[in-house]
Amino acid sequence: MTASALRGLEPLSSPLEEQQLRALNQALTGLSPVQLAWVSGYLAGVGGLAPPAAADAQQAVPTLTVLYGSQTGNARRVAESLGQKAAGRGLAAQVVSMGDYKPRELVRERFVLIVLSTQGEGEPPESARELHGFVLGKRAPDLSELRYAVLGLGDSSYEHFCRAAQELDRRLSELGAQRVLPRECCDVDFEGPADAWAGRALDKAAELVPTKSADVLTLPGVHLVPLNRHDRDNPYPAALIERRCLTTDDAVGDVRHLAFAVDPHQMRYTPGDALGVWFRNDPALVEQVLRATGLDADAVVTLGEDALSLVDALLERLELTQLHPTVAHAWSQLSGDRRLKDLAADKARLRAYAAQHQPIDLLTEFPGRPEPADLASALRALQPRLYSIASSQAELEDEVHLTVSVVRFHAHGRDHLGGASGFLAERLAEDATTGVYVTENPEFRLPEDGATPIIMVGAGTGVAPYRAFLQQRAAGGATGPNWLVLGNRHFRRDFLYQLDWQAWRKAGLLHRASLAFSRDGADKVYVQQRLREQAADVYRWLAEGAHLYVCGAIAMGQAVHQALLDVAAQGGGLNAEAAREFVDGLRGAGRYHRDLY
Amino acid sequence: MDAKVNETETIKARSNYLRGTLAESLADEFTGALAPADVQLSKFHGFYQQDDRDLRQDRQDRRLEPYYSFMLRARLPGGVCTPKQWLVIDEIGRSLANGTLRLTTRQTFQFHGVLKHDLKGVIQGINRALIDSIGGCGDVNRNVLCNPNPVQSELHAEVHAWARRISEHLLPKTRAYHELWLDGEKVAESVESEPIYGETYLPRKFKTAVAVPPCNDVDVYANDLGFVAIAEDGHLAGFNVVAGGGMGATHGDTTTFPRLADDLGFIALQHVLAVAEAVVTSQRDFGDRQERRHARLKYTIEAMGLDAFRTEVERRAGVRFAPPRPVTFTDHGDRYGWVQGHDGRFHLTLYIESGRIKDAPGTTHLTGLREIARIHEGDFRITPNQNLIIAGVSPAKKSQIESIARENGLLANGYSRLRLQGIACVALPTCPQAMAEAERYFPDFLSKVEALTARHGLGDLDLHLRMTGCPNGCARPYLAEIGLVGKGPGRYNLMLGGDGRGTRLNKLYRENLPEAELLETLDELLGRYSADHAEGERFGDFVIRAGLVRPVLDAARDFHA
Repeated sequence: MTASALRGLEPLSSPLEEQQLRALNQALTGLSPVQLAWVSGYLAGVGGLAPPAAADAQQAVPTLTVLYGSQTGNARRVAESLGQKAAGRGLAAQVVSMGDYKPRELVRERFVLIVLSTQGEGEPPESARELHGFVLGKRAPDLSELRYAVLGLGDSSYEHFCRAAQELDRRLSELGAQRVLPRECCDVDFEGPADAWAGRALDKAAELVPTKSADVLTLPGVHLVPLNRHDRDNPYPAALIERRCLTTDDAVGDVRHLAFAVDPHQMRYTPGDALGVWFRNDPALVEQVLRATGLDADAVVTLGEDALSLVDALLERLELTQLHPTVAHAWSQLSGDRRLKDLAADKARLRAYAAQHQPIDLLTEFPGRPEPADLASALRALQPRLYSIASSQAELEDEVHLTVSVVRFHAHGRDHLGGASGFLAERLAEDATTGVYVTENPEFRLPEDGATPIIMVGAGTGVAPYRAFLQQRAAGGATGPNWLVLGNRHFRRDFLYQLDWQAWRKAGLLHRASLAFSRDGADKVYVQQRLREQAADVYRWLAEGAHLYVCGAIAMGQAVHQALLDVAAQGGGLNAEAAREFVDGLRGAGRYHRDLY
Repeated sequence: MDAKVNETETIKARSNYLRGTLAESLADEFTGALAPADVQLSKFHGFYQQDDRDLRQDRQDRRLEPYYSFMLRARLPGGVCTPKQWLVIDEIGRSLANGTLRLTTRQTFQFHGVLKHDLKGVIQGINRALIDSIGGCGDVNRNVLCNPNPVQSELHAEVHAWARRISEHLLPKTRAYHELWLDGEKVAESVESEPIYGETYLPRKFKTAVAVPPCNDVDVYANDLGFVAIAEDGHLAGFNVVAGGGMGATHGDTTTFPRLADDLGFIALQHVLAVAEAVVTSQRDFGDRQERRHARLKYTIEAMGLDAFRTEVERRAGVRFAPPRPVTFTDHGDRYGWVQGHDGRFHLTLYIESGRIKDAPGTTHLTGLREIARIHEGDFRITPNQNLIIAGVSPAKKSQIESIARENGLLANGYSRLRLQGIACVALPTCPQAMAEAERYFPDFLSKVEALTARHGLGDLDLHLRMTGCPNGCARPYLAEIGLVGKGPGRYNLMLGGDGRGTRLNKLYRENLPEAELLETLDELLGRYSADHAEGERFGDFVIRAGLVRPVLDAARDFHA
C-alpha cells in the first residue's frame, strides 16, 4: 500500500465523502513508507477494527517478538516504538510484556528482541521475574533455534547497573541462542542510545527474518493507543484546575491533590496508569546556581540542537533537584576539588552523597568556576516525574487527578524543595498549563470481571490509584468486594482522601477498610501488621480469587510481601514452602500487582 | 409507640437501655465520630460529640472529616470532690483531654477534646476515683446542684447529703454504662428495667437543684425541680419544693420561653425522694414526646396547669404538700476570698474566669490547684457560678494554701464586681449549639463594659451580666440584669431586667445587635442609670422602673409580649 495507490481511490469506491478523501490524501502526501505503515496501524487502532488478516495471523508464527520487562514504563515505551518501527519496515512483530508471556514459548521463537530494565538491587522488574527466573533456572530448555539481542535499561549510579539484562543476555547465549548484536546497556538518558540500538536491531532482523508485506496490519500484541497522541516528547498541555492540601498544617508531610483538565479525545488513561509531568525548575534555585558558579544568566549554551540562554536552560531543560552521581563526577573534574575527586572515586560513597544532596549543595560545597557550556553538559537533562493517577475517566472524563507528596527538607544549610512537587505545589498557577502524558501501567490493572474481590494495600500517596479504582468500580457498577488497607502517620492529620473513602463506605462500595497510622499510638503500626492481624480473612479472600494490589514505597512493598508469606502460613495453615508457592501462584495468576517506588 | 414521636424517642426505644450500637461505633476506626443514633445515646453516658468548628471548613477542603472530639461531663452532686479525686481529674485532663478543665454552671467539671479512642480511658480513670458520668447529659436527671455554703458547715453537710441522695435515687439503672466503659459483665436483656424512667427515659433533660437561703447561687427557679432548704435552729427541717423552671428557648419561636419554677409546697425530709420521683415520673408520662423544644417540664406544667400537676405529684408520692414556708433570697453570686466557717475552718473562693482551668503564662491555675490538692485536707467545691472553693482548710494550712494560690495567679485581686459576677458558657469553637462566641469573647467584652461604667462614674458597679452563644441558656442568661444571648456570629439579643437574686426573668430589649450597637446601647442605658437611679437601686430594677422593659411575671404570657 502506497500513498499513490490511495490517491487513486475514487469517491465511489470508498465510504468517504469527496471532501474527506481530499483531506486524507492531503494528509498522506509526502509520507515515507515507514510513516505510512505506522499510520495504517494507527488508523486500524482508531477504528477499533479487528486485524483484517486474521487467517494469516493464525497460521503465521510471528517472525519477530519484542519482549519487554518494564517497571516504570520506559522499557515498554522503547519496546512499543520498536514494534512500530518493525511494522514500518514490513516486519511481522509482536510486542509482549514478559508478564503476559509464557516462558516455555521461547523454544518456538526464532527472533527475539529483549528490552529489560533493572531495579535498585539488580533485580528485574516485577513483571519479568518469572521469565527471568525460568531462563536462568536449571530447567531452562535448549534455545539453539533462537536469535536474539538484548537492550538493558538502568541507572549507572547503582551497584548492579543493568544486571538483569546482563544475566539474561549471558544465559540465553549459554542455552545455545545466537546473539545477533552486542548487548546495549542504557543509562538514565536512554532515549538516544535505545533509538540507535533499535535501528541496528531492525537492520539485523531485516537481514535475517523473511518479510511478508501483508503482515503490516497484523500486529497482534502491539499496544496501539491511538487516542494518546501525546507522549513524553509531545506532552499534552494540561491546565491545573484544582489544587488542595490533603494534610493538615501540623502533619509530618505535605500532600497535595491536583486536578488537571484534559481533552478526553486526546488523553485516555486507565486506573493504575501514571501521569508523566514536565515542570520548570524554581527560579530562586536557578538564581542560586548562577550565583554559586558565577555565571551570566544570559550566556548562550547549546543543548542538543538548541541554542538558548543559560538561565532558560537551567529553568527548563536541566535537572536541578535530583543529583545523579555522574553529575558529581563531572563536577569533580570541572571544579578540580581534591576532596570531591576522592569522593567520586568511591562509587558507593558517591551514590550515598548523590542521594542526600541536590546539585546546588554540590556546587556550593565544592566551588568551581566553569564555562557555561561545561555546566550545561555536566548537568543532566531534566526528566519528567511520574505520579500514579488518582482518578478514573469513567467518573471524570475530562480530568486527571494526582496525589503529590511535596518533597521539602532542610539540609546542608539550606531549604530544599522537590523539583516537580515544588512546581506543582507552589509555582504552577491555577489555570496555567504544564506538559503531561500518560504512562501505561498494564501490571496494575483492575480485574476485568467486576465481581472479583480486590484487596488494596497502600501507604502514603500509595493510596492514589485506589481512589481511581473505586471511582472506576463505582461508575461501572462493579459488585466485587473492595477491601482497602491504608497506612499513613496520623489519623487526624494525613488520612488521605478520608471523606472519599467514607462516602464509598456509606454507599456500600468499600466493604472493608483497615487502617494503620504509625504515629498515633505508642506502638508503630503499619499496613503489613494489619494484614497479619487479619491473616485468616486475607487468606480466604485470596483463596477465593481476590486480586491483591500493593502501592507505595519499595520498603513497604517488601514488608507487605513478607507479611503475605506469613498470612499464607497463618491464615492458610501452610508451611513455609507452600506459603511461598501460594504467593508465587498469585503472581503467576496475575493476581498480585505491585506498584512500588 | 405513637408514630408522631420525634426521632430521639425512637432511638431511645430501640437502644436496649442506652446500648444502641455504641460498642460498634467505638470500634470503628474509620471515623473519629459515632454513628448518628449513638451520638444521641452517648449523652446519657455523659458525653457529647463535638467538633472544632474553627477547623470544620478547612478540614473539609482537605477531604478530612471534622476534627471530632468529645466533651465529657461528670456527675458530681453539689460539686464536691476530694483532693484525691481532684488529682485524678487533673491528670486525666492533661493526658487524655485538651489540657484544660471546665467548671460548669451545673457544679461539675467537663473534659474537652477527648478523642473517641480515649473515652474509655477517661471514664475508667474517673471511675477509679469513684466518679462517674452517668446522666451527665441526656434525657434524665442531670447533676444535682447544691449550694456549697461553706460557712454553715453542719447545715451544708446535711443539705449536700440530700443532693447526693436525690442524684443517686434518680440515676438510670441500666448496666449499659458498666458494660461499655468499665468492662462489666453483660446482663441478659430480660433482667434490665428502668423502674423510674422506663425504656424511653424522659422526654427531655431534667435539672434539679437544692438551695439554701438566703443564697440563690444555684438559681433554684431555673431548674425543673428545686428544693429550697428550710432550716430550724441551724438544722434542716424540710424543703419547699418548686417545679417547672428552665432556661432554654428557641430563637423565633414564641411558643418557647424561659420560665421560673412554681412553688408546690413544703415537705418534710422523709418525703424528699418520693416527691422527686413523683415529679420525674409525672414528667415521664405527661411530657411532650413529639416536639423536643416543648418537652421540658415547664411546658408540661403549663399544659396541665399547676394545680393539676401538684395533685398528680401528691397522688404519686402519697404526700400532701404543706403551704410553702416563707423564704428570702438576697443574691445569686459567689463571695470571693477567705471566710471562716462555724466550725473554725477556713474556705477560699477562687474566681475562675469562665470556669476554664488551664495553665497560661502568669496564671498557672491547673498547676496551682494540683499543688493545693496535694496538701489540702478538706474538699473542693465547684460553685454554680463556675468558680471553685477550697473548703475546710485548717488554720495551720491557710497561709500555705494562700501562697500557692497567689504564686499561680489564682487570687483574683483587682477584678471588678462586674467581672467576678459574670458568667459565660463554652460556645465556640466546640459547642455544636453555639451561634456566637461566649467564653472566648467574654473577657474582652467585659473590659469594654467596664470602660462604660467608669465613663459614667459608676465605680465598682454590682451588676450581673451573663452571655451565652445560643438561646439554650447554659449560663442562665435570662436571670441576669443584662443578658446577652447569641443570635449569629458577632450578634446578640440584649435582655434586661433580672433582679440580681435569680427570682425574676429578664426580657428582650434589643434584638440581634452587633458589638458596636450593643456597646452604644449599653452606654446610653448606663448613662441613664447613672443619672436617674435611686439610692441602692439595682440596674435590673431601674430598667423596669424606668419603663425600658416590662417585668416578666408569668413567662408563658409575658416573656414575648
